[in-house]
Amino acid sequence: MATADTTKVVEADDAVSAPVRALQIGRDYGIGGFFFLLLLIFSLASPTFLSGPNLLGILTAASVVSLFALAEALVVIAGAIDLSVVPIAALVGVIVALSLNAGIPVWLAVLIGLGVGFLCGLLNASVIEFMNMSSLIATLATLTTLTGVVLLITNGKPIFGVTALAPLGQGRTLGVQNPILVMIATYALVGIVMSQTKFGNRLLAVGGNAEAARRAGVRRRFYVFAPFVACGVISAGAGIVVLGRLGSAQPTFANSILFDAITAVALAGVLLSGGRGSILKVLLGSLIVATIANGLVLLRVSSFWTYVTTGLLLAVAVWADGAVSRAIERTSLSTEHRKEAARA
Amino acid sequence: MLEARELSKSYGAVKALDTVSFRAVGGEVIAIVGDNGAGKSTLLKVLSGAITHDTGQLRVGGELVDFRSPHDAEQVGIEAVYQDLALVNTLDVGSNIFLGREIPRKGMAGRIGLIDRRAMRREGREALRDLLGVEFPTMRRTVEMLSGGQRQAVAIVRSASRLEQRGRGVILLDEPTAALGVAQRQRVGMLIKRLASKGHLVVIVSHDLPTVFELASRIFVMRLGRLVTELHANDSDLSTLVGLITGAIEPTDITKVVADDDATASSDINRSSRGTK
Amino acid sequence: MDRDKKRRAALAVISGTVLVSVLTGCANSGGTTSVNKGTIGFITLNQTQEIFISQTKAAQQWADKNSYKLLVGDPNNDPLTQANIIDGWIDSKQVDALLIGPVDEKALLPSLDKANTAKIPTIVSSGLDKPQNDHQGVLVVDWNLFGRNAGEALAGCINERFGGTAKIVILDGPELPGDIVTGRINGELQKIKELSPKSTVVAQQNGQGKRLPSLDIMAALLLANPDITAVTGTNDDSMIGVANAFKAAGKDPSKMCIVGLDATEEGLALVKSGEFYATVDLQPIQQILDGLKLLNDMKAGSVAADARRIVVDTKIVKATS
Ligand SMILES: Nc1ncnc2c1ncn2[C@@H]1O[C@H](COP(=O)(O)OP(=O)(O)OP(=O)(O)O)[C@@H](O)[C@H]1O
Ligand SMILES: [Mg+2]
Repeated sequence: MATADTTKVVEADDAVSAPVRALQIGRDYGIGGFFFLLLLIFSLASPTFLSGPNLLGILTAASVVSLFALAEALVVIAGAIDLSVVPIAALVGVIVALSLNAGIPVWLAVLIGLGVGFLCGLLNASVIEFMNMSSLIATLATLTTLTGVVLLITNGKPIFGVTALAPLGQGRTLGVQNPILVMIATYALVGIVMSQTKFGNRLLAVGGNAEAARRAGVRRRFYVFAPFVACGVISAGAGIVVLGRLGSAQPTFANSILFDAITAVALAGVLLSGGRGSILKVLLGSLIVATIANGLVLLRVSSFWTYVTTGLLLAVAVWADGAVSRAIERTSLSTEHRKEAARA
Repeated sequence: MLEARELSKSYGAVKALDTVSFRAVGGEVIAIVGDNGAGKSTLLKVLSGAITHDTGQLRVGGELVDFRSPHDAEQVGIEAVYQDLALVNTLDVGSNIFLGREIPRKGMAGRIGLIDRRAMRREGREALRDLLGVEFPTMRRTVEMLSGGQRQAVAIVRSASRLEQRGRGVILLDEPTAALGVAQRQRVGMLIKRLASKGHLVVIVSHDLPTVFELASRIFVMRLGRLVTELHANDSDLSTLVGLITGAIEPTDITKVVADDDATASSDINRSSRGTK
Repeated sequence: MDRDKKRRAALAVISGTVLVSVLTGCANSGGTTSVNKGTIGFITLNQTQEIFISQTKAAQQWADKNSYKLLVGDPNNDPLTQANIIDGWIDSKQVDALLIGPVDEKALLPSLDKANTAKIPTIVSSGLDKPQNDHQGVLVVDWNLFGRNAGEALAGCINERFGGTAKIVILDGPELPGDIVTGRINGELQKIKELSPKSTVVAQQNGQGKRLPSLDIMAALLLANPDITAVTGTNDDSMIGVANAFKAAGKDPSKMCIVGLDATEEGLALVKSGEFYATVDLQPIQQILDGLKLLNDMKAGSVAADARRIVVDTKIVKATS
């Protein structure tokens, strides 16, 4: 969504040659096409796959990963990376669970949780900005520290019997699981912010070329902090959804979750160099990851194949994205030259 | 309205700016010339707040200013087109032109931060056409896909259109025509004249000396970070300027030229420039 | 600018050092006593899972009471890291005794030889069947037996609730070397075949030993095979995800057959509430305390070989038991 305007070439465009346009369409809609191909293959292979309940099940499973992916995407668009999204969620889950067990009302506990996510993001950004550290190192430190803090708080034991958030995690509205609605609402909000607002435009600018944005009068520092803080809050949201789904808060999550989230971001073509990113594609990337996991379970393929497939897919997607981008550049440059030659 | 006093800036051992002082007023076009590495871009970046100087003072409209960022300089009406253009490659043309002062949507939507991309594309397209006579078939292309000249046009239009929205300001242009075609060069010249006639101060850095003579009223020559001399365009000539830039002519020969606006003195310099060759 | 950067870097280093020293200071202050009988190097698979954290805590308490210092290592499930930590302890003479829960006992053999050469009394908890030398004691944990217990409980439940026929799911993983996970799974499969021959295992998937992936996998499986009624696998944690999946599918877990392993606090609570049919207890704390006592005896003087072999008791915990 965010670059729907910047990369999509919808209008008839005489300046862009046909092959370039074809390549651009490939880059912009390829992921959607791939998703439908995946749906087609699995629905042919498994009769259950295309059923309503299973599709809702995929969306429910995707809800958590997609929130992590969204949080990560904002930071990656800004040209950084955040390795600490999962422990932030774990910390928030634990704190919210303890708050609820202490009798704090649900709305306040959720607010506290989101506030903790906010502070974690603020911490990450502060370390990066004021200590001049790379985001990779800074958030790696946060990852380790927060994991330790959560274990200290919980002694490694899950906090269970938390029923207050069951409506959020396990309830349905009009037949749709509530985590799906949380996912859709969050994506809609962030998608609009990124594609339609001043904030989104400037965040993309700082991610694409921080110095150029600064010279255009953008307050760079604000846009260093904002994505990390947003990332912290959305990760906190993911932690709260998990708490709702499970009725318990785990001090540590499965290792695969960060990998899945980053895979989704990469599938979306949100380059690690920053400045580019479509929120809609991040959602598609998350759905692809969740769909592969679901489809292979239904086909009773050994779970090792999930790793193999997701890994290969990631490599191919990133390679294809790069290759297509380079091809676009080459082709459009050569048309440019041809035109110039014609003019001379 | 723009006054620099003893500005200095070092990069390690390199003195990129060495006690540079000058004054200029609105309505003027001044040029800064000098060999590669003379410190021209550094001076412009200090004036635009992109970098901070080590020592010295800067005044705008008589007020002492201390720029921490280009944002600060923009507040007092200083716009700049940088040598490296400083565009965001990943954004489209409209977003680049309006970056930092996006057009809000009308009504409530605008107040909560929603922007009008269509208006940004339309107005950007119009500005490109009106200011430089450049037609962009699509404003949706990202800047990375533009040719060098197109990129330069975008950078110039961005700063110029911002300036036009102010009563009085300063525009700093670092090699604004390096990548442009002949027609566009002329348009930039016209643009510069128009901006000056409206009372803005225009500062250009260029290696294109004939154009410098055509546009600027005063020409500053920089060498190794120092502003070695200042010429009036209408009583100097190309070969003098070349001599000063290369060091074939020493500035001490000319200081008196600037002091007394004397045609004979300038022909002295011509002689001495021939003499040193 | 430049100087500013350096100052910031210095600040970062200083604050980092302060933080580390504060943290280590806190960690050390726990174990100081007047007489010191020596240092025990204590290392299990990781320090992030409930079971190991509680073992470490019990070991720390025992050490404090018995005037030992405890040095805790965290290999984070990596066999090589574990070997490196142990070698480091021995080489730098930091430890007078060792209690090891191997990630992969085969990767540890050189380190165990090294301990023997240095005459350091060593307890190996699980993986070895009998002491390999005079300075070694073993806690024999039979992971396969552990799994057989779970399989037996599951078969019992299937007989009790479904007349001996059920569609079964096994959630395995995480991928650890050695026998810890595979032993459990193989034991389960063996007993299921033996005691519930009419049942079929319809799926075996990787729940990573964690509740969230297990929940998602189980939810998908229940859609494809709504008649799945019995599940077991690696541990309690993954079975908690399974119980949630049954609930999400509108089924009452206490009418199904879910058997956990490890007897965690939460697992035991679920057995009590009926959501789990059973969990299998490896008595992790008692096991460690027995090992430490043996270590203490071995330090005091030689202990006969058969006394250096302790077989860890496993038991099935059901709501009724
Ligand atoms: N960021 C920097 N770091 C270190 N040295 C720099 C930096 N920027 C400029 N310099 C040095 O400062 C001096 C002046 O550079 P500047 O870019 O101002 O020259 P210039 O007159 O604009 O040259 P050109 O005509 O090539 O654009 C040069 O010696 C250059 O190497
Ligand atoms: Mg320059």
